[in-house]
Amino acid sequence: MVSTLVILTLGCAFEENLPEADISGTVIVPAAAATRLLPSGETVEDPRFIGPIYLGAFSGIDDVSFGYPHPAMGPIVTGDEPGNTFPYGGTSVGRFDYACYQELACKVVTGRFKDYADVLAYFKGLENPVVDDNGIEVTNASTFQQACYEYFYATSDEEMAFIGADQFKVNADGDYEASFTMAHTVMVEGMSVWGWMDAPLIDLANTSGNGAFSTCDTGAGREPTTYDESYFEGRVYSDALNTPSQYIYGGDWVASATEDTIVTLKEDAAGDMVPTNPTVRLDIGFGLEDAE
Amino acid sequence: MMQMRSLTLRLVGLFAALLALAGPVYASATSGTIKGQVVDEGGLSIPGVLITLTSPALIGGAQQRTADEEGRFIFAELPPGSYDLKGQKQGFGSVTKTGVEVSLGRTSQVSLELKVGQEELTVKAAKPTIDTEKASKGDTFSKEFLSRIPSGRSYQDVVSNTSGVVGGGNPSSGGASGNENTFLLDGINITDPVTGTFSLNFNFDAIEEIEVITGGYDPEYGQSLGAVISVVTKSGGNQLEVIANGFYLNGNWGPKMDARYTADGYELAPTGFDESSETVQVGVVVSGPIVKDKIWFLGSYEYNRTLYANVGVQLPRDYDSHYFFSKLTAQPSSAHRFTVQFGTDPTTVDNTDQADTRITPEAQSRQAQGGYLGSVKWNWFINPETNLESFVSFQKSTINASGVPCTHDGTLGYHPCEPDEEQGNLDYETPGHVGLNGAYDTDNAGFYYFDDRYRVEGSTKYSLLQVDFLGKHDIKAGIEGSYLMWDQIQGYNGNLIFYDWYENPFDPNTLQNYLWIETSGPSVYSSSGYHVGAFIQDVYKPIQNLTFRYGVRYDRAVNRNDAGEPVVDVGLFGPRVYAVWDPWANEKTKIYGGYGRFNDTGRLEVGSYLSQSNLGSKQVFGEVIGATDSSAGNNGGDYSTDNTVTVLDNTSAPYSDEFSIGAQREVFTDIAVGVEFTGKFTRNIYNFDETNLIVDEDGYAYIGSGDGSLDQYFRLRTPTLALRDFYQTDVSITRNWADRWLLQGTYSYVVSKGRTQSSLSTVFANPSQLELWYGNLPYDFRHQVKLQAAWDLPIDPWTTTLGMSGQVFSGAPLSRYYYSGADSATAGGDSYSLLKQPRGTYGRAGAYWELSVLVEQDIPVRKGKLSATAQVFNITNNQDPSYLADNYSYYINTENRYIIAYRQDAITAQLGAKYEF
Repeated sequence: MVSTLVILTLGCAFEENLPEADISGTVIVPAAAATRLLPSGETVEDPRFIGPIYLGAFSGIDDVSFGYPHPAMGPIVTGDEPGNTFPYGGTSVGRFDYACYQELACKVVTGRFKDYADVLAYFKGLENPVVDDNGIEVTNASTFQQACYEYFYATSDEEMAFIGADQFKVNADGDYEASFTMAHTVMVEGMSVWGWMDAPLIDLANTSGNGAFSTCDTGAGREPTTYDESYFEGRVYSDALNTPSQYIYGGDWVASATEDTIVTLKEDAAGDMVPTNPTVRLDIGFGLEDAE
Repeated sequence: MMQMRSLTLRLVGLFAALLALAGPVYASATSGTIKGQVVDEGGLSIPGVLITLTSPALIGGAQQRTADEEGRFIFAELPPGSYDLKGQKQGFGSVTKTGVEVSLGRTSQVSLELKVGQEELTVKAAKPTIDTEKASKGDTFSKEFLSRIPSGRSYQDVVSNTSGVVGGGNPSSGGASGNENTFLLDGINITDPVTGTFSLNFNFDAIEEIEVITGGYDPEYGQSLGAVISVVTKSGGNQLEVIANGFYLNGNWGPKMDARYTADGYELAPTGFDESSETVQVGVVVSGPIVKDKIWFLGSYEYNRTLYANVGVQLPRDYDSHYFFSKLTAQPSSAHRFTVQFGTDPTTVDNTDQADTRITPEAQSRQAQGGYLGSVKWNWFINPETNLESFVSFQKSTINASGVPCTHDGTLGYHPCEPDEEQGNLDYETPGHVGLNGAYDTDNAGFYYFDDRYRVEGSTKYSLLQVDFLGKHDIKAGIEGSYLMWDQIQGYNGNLIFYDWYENPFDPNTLQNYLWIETSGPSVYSSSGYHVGAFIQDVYKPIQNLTFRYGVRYDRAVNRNDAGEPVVDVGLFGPRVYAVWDPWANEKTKIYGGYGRFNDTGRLEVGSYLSQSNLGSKQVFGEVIGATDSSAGNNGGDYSTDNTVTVLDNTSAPYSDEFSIGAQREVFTDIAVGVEFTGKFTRNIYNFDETNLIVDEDGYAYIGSGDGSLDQYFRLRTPTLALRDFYQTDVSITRNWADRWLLQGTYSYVVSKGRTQSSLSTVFANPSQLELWYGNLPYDFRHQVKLQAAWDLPIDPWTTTLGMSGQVFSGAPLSRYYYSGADSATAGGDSYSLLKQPRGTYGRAGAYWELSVLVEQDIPVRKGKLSATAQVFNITNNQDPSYLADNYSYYINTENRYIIAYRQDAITAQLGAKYEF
């Protein structure tokens, strides 16, 4: 019986010795990144202005090649294209989610809205109101909800990922904080976690594109057959971490390179070596004067 | 040609080497045991009694033993059958017990009572209801059972009568997948070395007995996390016996329901509702003596022809099968028995593609499959308490598939394509043509696939019985080894394949309505592996009514991929400890339980997932396939022969820790009731994950990749997280075949949870960063009832047999998957793989039940026995969902309906006749 118990104990877990680790950390978005001048002339601080944040683990940070900290790159093969950053892993905080109307493709980010009415109000404030398939403005949240249910075959709001709790909490400095986990990241001691936030377009003069993001490809993603066969719901470009400079424009926010972003190994209470928890601050507003 | 000759020489050499090495083997998989004691009227043991055992099943004539000082005796390695046991001693006279039943893996306990001065006395033995030395879980299906209970007349169909087993063919047992069973034919492993499924067919009437062990098996059994399904065939006898049969099965006469559409017009997945099928089965089994008591033979043949069609197809799938099985058993002396077997089951399948109703006969595909098995077995009975059993076997399985009119392979009835046959029939070279007479080509029609699988196996087992050391020990030890090979060639008949969808002609100007595949030539995949196992076990009885079964098994296995890399390279121990207690020492009660670890040493299929030679091809999509336009920039995917796999240094192998406890009690003569609990915990299931692509927080889209490409890089893992937990509680009643009726019924409460049902899962694969949800697995049918019964009406000689089989399952669990664009790297992908709730917890399908009946009528004839049989399966034509795959191919999706993987088979009737003499 004793031998059986010993065998069971030994057999409880198999150590795979994977060369990877789950990197958990915190991303901090300054309040300024959530503060935008609206076409109405009003300046508003609103977490709904926080766009998707792309986070990656890289071998190092290049402070020379661009006007902001950028992940270290591989060779530049052609003159007009940046080299590849070859990330060890990555994730996002917030993501483009399903648009229940074609007009919303690539404009709605998960976790930034409280309910359907909140979405409608947001775009109304950007002077680019949500319209339905026939171009008619949607003003009724229930109508919007019903369209989403039909589009996603949903039966409850729990099934609609974009109606989520706010991902960000306001910290003591008045900035926005969220946690993240980069699962299965190749563990290289000394690697840097870097990221950037794709801010929504807000054009004061031409409002028709307001709310859109530069990282979104409206020609990619699922093509509904029951709704509109020419409508792709949109999806993030697949090289957002490999060549981020292609998508960083004025108004976006970029992480600074600090000691807090470097991942090393530390000993935990059980004596195991585990990765440190990086803190990424998106405190560099890129070309803000151009954007606004 | 040189390569094939070399391969053949290698295999023949290996076979010869194993034969030379093979020593004696132990064979409880193919035999049973009689143990007994001789006592006087007062219950005191009588030593020195001469015990004589006779049976029509016993080649070599009568066997004799002398009872030891405690009056005990043992006869081991007995073929299943009915035996007569005679005890005699000077001064006591004699007593004979007739009809002592021997079943597979079972110990029949017999007590012989001698009286002083007694004349010869003959008594009929009671049927053994409870085996008080057995701790394993499962059923043994005797000839009586097989002939009286409705079944599809194949050993695969019988298995599902066992409690805790779900499905037929390759069933799930103990929460395992259908790829984790072991199939034995006369003790020889016939499990497919690649897929872990069954691999040989033969005449149902050649079967003597089937044992299905679903848990608690002894260390001599290994490599299986599911059930061990052991089939023992007849061996012949001193009397010539012929069984001729013919059966016709029709699946078309039952009332059809329009199940393809719901009331509101939603189209359902094709189901058994829509299928039609007919089968003709003709067979013969001839057995008898070549030299009485010395050499017996058995030969069997069965022809099967099945037409099967999905609704709307232009030609039915056409199965044409020939099953041949033969066996020669020779016992030249009392010490040596030799058994030689050969079986083959060539089958051709025409019109294999039944999924697309637009396929014309000219564009259909063919398949030839089957294989052969040859084995030599040697039993050496050194003395009554010591024996050895050894065998070597060689098995080859083949699957060849290709489009009409030819298969490029002549080995199984098809002829190679001559140039003039292909020319003008299949045009794979000129853009804009779609094949003969405008037929709509499919990948089956253009794709060929030749697959050969080999297993060479040798085994030696040694039994040392009734060893005295603080009680009685039956010790068994053995070694076994097998070498596995898999050769596979796949490719396209031409270098271009054209598809034409929706009956729209290909337009060369717009490049619409087409897909072509440019191929780089055939892909050749060749892999191999080996397995070596060793075990030692002891059945220890410190006192007469207490039995311990314990031992350990070691398995060493290496499975390589085509580059020779050892994808699976493991050495595993499997300890097992069980105890059985007969509290009143009267063979009417047992309380039992124990622990066992079972290891899965993998299959060659595992290595193939890390193949280094993929079929190189470039796909070019037309508009209808999903790209936004047909320009070169938006079309195409280059599937090159890059090495896209990673073999990790540190992998383990799946294993199950099983705990069981139970009790069984004979409450009336021949009737036993029991209760049993089993907990089985499986870990380290083979899994593949992808390491290059990076997804966003919820796995909805790719946001980057490690090397900047969208190539996928796979690796094999055996994480502890890949697990299954299984709990089964049975309440059973069993009534042996006696006095013209039998009964077997079980209610099972089953919980099957985990993260993956599959034995070779890709749940980690894509996207690998996502959480794996633990939940109810697809076979989590909480309530299961199985009932079989048969009754012979006492109107001899016009005996009528009534048999029934019923099953009830509560509803299958439902998972709900959500859309994930990340699952498809190319535009237009439409995939559901995000599981946002625990697996299988979204809901449940409704319960389903099924009742099948059998009526067999004996017809008196001048010589022999003639009987007519009618069977009706699923007599009420229930069509409820029977299985909802835990796979995002089958998800709750459109309009919130679940898509059914399988429904119950529609009502089917079989008529037949059998003649025996």
